[in-house]
Amino acid sequence: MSVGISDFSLEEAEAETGAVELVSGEIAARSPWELFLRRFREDKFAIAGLAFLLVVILAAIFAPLVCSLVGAPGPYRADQNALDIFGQPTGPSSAHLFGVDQIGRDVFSRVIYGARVSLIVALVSCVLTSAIGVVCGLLAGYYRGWVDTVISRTVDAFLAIPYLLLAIGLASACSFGNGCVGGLIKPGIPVVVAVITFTSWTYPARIIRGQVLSLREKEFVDASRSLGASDFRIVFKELLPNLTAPIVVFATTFLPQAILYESALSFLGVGVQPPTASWGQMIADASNNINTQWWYMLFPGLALLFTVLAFNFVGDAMTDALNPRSKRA
Amino acid sequence: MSIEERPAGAGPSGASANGAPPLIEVRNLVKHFPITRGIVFQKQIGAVKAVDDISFEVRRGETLGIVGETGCGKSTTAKLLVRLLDPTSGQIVFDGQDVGAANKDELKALHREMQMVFQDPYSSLNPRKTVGSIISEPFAIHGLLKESGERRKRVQELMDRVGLNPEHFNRYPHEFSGGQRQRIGVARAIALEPKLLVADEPVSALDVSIQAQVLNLLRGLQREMGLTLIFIAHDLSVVRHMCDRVAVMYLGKVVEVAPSDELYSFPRHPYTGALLSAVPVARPHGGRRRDRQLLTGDVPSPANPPRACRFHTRCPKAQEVCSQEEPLLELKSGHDLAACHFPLTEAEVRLRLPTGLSGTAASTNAHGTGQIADQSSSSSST
Ligand SMILES: Nc1ncnc2c1ncn2[C@@H]1O[C@H](COP(=O)(O)OP(=O)(O)O)[C@@H](O)[C@H]1O
Ligand code: SF4
Ligand SMILES: [Mg+2]
Repeated sequence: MSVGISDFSLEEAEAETGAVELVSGEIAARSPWELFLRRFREDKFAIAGLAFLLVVILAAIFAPLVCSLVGAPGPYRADQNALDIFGQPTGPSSAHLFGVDQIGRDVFSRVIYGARVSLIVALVSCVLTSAIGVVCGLLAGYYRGWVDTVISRTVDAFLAIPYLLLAIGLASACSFGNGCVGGLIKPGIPVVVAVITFTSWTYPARIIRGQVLSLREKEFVDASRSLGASDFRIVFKELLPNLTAPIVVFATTFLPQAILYESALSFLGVGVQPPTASWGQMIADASNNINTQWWYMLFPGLALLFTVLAFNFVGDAMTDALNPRSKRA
Repeated sequence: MSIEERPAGAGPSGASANGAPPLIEVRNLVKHFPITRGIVFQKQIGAVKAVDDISFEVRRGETLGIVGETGCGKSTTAKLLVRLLDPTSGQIVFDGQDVGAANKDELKALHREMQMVFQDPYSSLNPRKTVGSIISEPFAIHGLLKESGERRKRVQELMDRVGLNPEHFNRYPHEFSGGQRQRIGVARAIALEPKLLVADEPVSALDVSIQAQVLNLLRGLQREMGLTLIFIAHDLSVVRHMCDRVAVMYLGKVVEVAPSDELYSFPRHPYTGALLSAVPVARPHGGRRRDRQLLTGDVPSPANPPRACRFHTRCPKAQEVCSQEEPLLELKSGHDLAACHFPLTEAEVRLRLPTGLSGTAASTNAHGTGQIADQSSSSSST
């Protein structure tokens, strides 16, 4: 997983959002937010992606309602009657829109409930990863010296870890019984979030550190310090508000990757534990009989594909809107 | 009569002229930025001698100019004064208090007494904060005017005072022009009613046409609030109409300190003479260009400054002794302190300076900054 946005430049965003229109001596400027919205709206893919994501989010939140509306039985009920006379799953029908799985559970319900897992994991790990990374990056960039040395070497060490292997190891160590770290990291979603955060915080840390190194040289930091401001105030009230662009860019790039990450872990059997529904896990289950029961693989696969794609469209559009020089062809 | 024989009026420490102790005394102030090599085990391989043993004082209520080419240590001096940097050695006494010995609380209290206006009106204002919150930051930091209505009222008063529309407190810095931004910086600096205001090239980044407005604002505020002002500039043209006294810096050293009139009419240090030569002067009767003594060659690196007199590599009067013995800052004439073995004579000044020894020129051309850079660059390229 690579986050190729470290070359993002604050000045460029600023130079553009700083556009001022002089109207008869009065200064009439668009707020950065207005400019952002204007540019974002021009991207049709992003609008489509946003609409799709809205549907996914609503479906996830109101999963029970959605299931009952289409008459689906919910994700956990294994209905023997839904299997055919050979005990094999049946395909899409009016009773089961997306068919059923090997033990007769409704695939539609499981896809809808799987969205919950994907979104929760993506959101929570994105927030944690960004928070840890941003704080570490801020501290390293602001204090420099030994603080920077410690944080930067730690980041280097993390980047040297083969993290898929580590994730599998960590996840399997934490996936049984009461979990690890004294029960703090429980099997299931917490493990997945911990693994993703543990292996990903270095990306925002590096991006933010680089930005802070140049930001801290700006005179407004000196101005604040010469007024007697504390380090805490300078870091969180002066520097942090200037980092919204890189943080938003990171977060929107990271969300779809976290979804894929969760799916991969669940696919490998070290993620979300059965019977909780997860797209990755469903795909793994389905891979045994893909030749005959295509629906079991197709629908969670499409859900995953379209959700990630939608996040990417939105993320790209946000990056472009914040950073006018990165124009896609 | 050569000028050296003039009777010295005041002692070298002319500060006590009005009896009161100076607001600031700077003694042997040094700031070296270490140059290091290696990442984990940093080894110091040298130092940029940004400020190297300077001493001066600033009297209450006066305006002291600090002038010198870019890189001579003016900003470093300013930052040392307002405690944005810790000195390598030396002492700063502010209002009788040794700043270096102050503890954390005392330092925070000291920050209320001295403020700075920065050079770059673009980078000195946080682009993500409204003007109102920028100007009220001093109150927030020091826990003053806690009630928001009160704070807003005070902010709007300050905006009005510096010539901004008080209605615009909710706007962002990018909605203002350079001159207006500098006014915002001034409002922030005077919010706590400091005793000392350090203005580091406050108009260098501004359009020549609006420089005067900001300068007049500073002068007005100084008079009104009884501020002591340290005004930094990279050439002598702006300083003249602002300052009571001027200190000229070269490569981390103060080479001349004198009352403005004396400095402009009769500079003693050859470097000051060269700087003045570069000041364009309106010559209504189209007089011929005099023998300008413009600076040639590059400024040596402050990491490895020339021995003894640092100006000897570029000085037209340099002699053997200049590279062997460091000249001390001594009274040369009137109230003029200069660090030079062979100070300029009256004849030299008359020959070379358009402004020299003619008191009438003192008020001409205060805002010619735009042209000075051109002249000095063309002279160094020939
Ligand atoms: N933080 C710093 N680290 C290293 N060198 C510095 C630093 N700040 C200033 N310098 C160096 O010190 C010298 C004086 O700089 P400065 O005080 O900014 O000059 P001026 O304001 O007169 O242009 C310059 O050579 C500059 O490169
Ligand atoms: S001491 Fe010598 S080199 Fe230095 S300024 Fe005076 S004459 Fe020039
Ligand atoms: Mg400077």
